[in-house]
Amino acid sequence: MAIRILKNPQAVIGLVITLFVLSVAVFAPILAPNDPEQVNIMLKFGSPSEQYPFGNDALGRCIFSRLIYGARYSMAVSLPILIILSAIGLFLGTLSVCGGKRINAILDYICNTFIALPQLMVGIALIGMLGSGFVNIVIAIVIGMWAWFTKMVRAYSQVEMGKDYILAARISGCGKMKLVFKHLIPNILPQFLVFFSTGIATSILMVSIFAFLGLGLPAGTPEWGAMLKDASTHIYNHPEMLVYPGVCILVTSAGFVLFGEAVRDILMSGEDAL
Amino acid sequence: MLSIQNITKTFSVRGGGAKNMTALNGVSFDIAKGEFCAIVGESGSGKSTLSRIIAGLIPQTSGSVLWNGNESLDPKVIGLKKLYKRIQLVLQDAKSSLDPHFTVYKSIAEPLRNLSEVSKKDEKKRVLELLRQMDLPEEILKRKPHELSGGQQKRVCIARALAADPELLIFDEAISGLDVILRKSILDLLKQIHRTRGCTMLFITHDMDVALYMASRIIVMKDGEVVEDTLCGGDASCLSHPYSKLLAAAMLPKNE
Repeated sequence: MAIRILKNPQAVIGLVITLFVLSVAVFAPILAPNDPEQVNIMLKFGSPSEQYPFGNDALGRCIFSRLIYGARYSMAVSLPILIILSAIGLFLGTLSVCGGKRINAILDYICNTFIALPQLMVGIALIGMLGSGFVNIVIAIVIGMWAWFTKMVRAYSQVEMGKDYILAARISGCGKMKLVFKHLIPNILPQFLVFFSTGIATSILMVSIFAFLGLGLPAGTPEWGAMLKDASTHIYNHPEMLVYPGVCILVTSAGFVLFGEAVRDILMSGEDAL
Repeated sequence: MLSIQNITKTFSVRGGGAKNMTALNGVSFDIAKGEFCAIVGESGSGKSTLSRIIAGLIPQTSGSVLWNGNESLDPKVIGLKKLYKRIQLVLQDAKSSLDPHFTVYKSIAEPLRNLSEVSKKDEKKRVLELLRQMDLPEEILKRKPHELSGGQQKRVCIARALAADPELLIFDEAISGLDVILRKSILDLLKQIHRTRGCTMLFITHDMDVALYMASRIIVMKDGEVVEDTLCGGDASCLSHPYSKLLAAAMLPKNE
């Protein structure tokens, strides 16, 4: 699998971008030349220099340092969201398939109801009710996206449950728990990892959209969506301030999507080959 | 030992107005301990449905499957562990009935872990013993299903079924899709297992030739019903029903 990923140019590009962004997020305090939140009004809209490679924003803060820390904040919000969504999706998706016809029908109905509602509108409504902040953003996005994850796991699980190896496992004496944890989840995991990687991109974009609408993390937090929102008021005088975070969001999302889709293609071609 | 009493199975068919399709209609027969019995019939005659009902994988619409005269074989009544310690089913497609993520060792050891209380040491000993019985080399233990040949996959499936030491072994079209040489070697292996272990075997096939070669008793099914149930001595002369004769006539002629 690892060799096949390394032989696929799309997967390598996606992997390099993803690892680069994750490294930047982890080593942000070492990489950032300045304090991202330090205000210096004397440097308002300062031009790029050796000390401030991308210049300064309206409050004289170092744009480059804020972009580096932005990777950390965007990842810090997106990864917990994805981990919670994965846990919910795997639990409810497999429960739906293994829990009997009634549970399956009820969960299907609830999922369809949530999927019918636009994710962004649900998120905005919830943040409007709960208020902004890290935990509330996570809750809002999880509520907006859980049904998609559950439906995806359910669909893959239904396909796997119809296969002979599941029947053989039952005949080998596997109860429902063993069936799910030893046979079902390991067999849907490759497809699930693909959905996970593309889900990170969706989650980054959702966080950025919330921040752009003023519903994101607390004011002043160096998060890419918030930087985009701050820069939008200076679009005519300093359009480059809008480009920097925009490119960061685009490249990071593209990295995860490229990697996810390449892994899916590799897995699908592997199935065909078998 | 196994008593099939008036089993009926209907499936509801969707589309074009709800209607039921009868797969089995009042099927009854008994199988004695140690018997090698073949169920023969064309596709759609209800053979596989019957095997799955006996193995507790699907419920019957009516009728009962009894063990030793009066014990129920319903998994809800006796539990999965008790049922599959008694009965094991070898499925038609060996490759798809092995978990692609499981090594050969894990596949064979799974019923041992679930159905027998054996120590880790005994488990390994037992797996190696089964491997030897199946004429499989030890080095395949760490391999995954796609790294095995068709014959090896089939033997691993049989080893897995034998691991639970069942009293009744059901083979559902267990040799379809194999080449003639492999087919013969698997059939001989099954005969040998029957001889050495003395377990009861129910061999489901659409091939009358194979049934006559393997079994001492042949049950012929057509459209979900038993049309003939006879003891056989290896040739088609024991068959009397026109449909059984038709199946026998469809066999390829043997070279003189």
